[in-house]
Amino acid sequence: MWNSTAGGFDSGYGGGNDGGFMNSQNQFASPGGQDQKKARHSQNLVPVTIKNIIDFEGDNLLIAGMEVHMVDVVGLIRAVDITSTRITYTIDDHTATIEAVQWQEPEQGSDDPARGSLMEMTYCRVSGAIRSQMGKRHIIVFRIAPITDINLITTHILEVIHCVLKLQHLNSLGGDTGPSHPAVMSNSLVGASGLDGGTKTTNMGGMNMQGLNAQQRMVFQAIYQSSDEGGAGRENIYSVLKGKLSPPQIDQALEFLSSEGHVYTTIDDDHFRAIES
Amino acid sequence: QHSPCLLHFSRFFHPFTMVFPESGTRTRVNGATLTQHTGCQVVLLGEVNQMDSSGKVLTVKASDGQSVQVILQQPAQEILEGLIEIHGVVEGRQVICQSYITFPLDDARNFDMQSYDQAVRLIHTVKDNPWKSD
Repeated sequence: MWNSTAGGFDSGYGGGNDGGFMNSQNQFASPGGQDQKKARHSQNLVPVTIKNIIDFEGDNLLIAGMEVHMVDVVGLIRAVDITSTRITYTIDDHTATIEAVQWQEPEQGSDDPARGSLMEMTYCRVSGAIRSQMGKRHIIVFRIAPITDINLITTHILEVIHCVLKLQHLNSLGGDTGPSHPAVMSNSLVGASGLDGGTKTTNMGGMNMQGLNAQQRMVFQAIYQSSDEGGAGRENIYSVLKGKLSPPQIDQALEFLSSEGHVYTTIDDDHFRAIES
Repeated sequence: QHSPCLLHFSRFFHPFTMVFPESGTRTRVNGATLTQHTGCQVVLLGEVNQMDSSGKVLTVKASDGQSVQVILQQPAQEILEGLIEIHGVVEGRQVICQSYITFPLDDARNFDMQSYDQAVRLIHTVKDNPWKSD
């Protein structure tokens, strides 16, 4: 059947690893310094559905808890809009529709910007970054190409499913000290074993994992590992821990953690940061 | 046995005269999974078996080999043959077509229908996968 070639699926899905699949240099000029910082954070190119991109709440798309900024989608071109500066494709992969913007280089002697644009009602593959403008999400295109081998439609369906399952599997492998140990990615900075804060204390400035039950530890780790500038959002924590803890359980843990001083709220009551030593 | 989509579409369903939105949330189906999606929007990728003289009724062989009748809203302007992808709504064992695309013979030449059918089956069996919304 199909085998993974440039995808490098077997080289690991870790967000911080150099072996992360389809690592790419951050070569594009992004409009804001903030975006550049975020893009350097996660250099994975992840196969997703358009619905994944349209639906996510919070600041970042999370696939099985992993932040995704660059995506790979395969879909039908429903519309092509051409101006002298850019081509905007409306892509439909049957889960949802999104616009993909391809900025044009001004070429010398080229008078027809429509030359080289793909055709409506054909399948294409788009690799690009998720962007949000005026509340609406779209994709900035790095590469767009027509699908000439229909088997690639099958491949993409499978890659998307595989990606989610693989990341979930890696998540579940994270703990090695038994069922009470929270599941974390292999590149996690925090392990529950080896952190010895001594006796139970409510001091700030110590990452004391004792005195916390398993649920509180899991929520604390989710907050600690979050790279969100405004702090980890409550909804984000729900989605990161989906399947492990229910929202009421997470709420309860957040109450405990903040009253004990292990986490504090940042931009509002729904955003948290962990106290680090 | 009640398809979840039936409730959603029943307010609007009026055969042959409806104008559906071009894009939406569709699920890929084969012959076997078709009947579980009555009233739902689907994608049916298969081979054209035959077209009737009116140009409005197609018989499509789904990826699992089952035959499905497809009703086009306008008669086809061309002879339809080979690999075809129907986007439409299921009504019983028929699909009312909203749009379709055909593939160039060269691109469809090496298409592995069995692998595609496996992918469709996975879409319907893998829990919480992004291709199927509940």
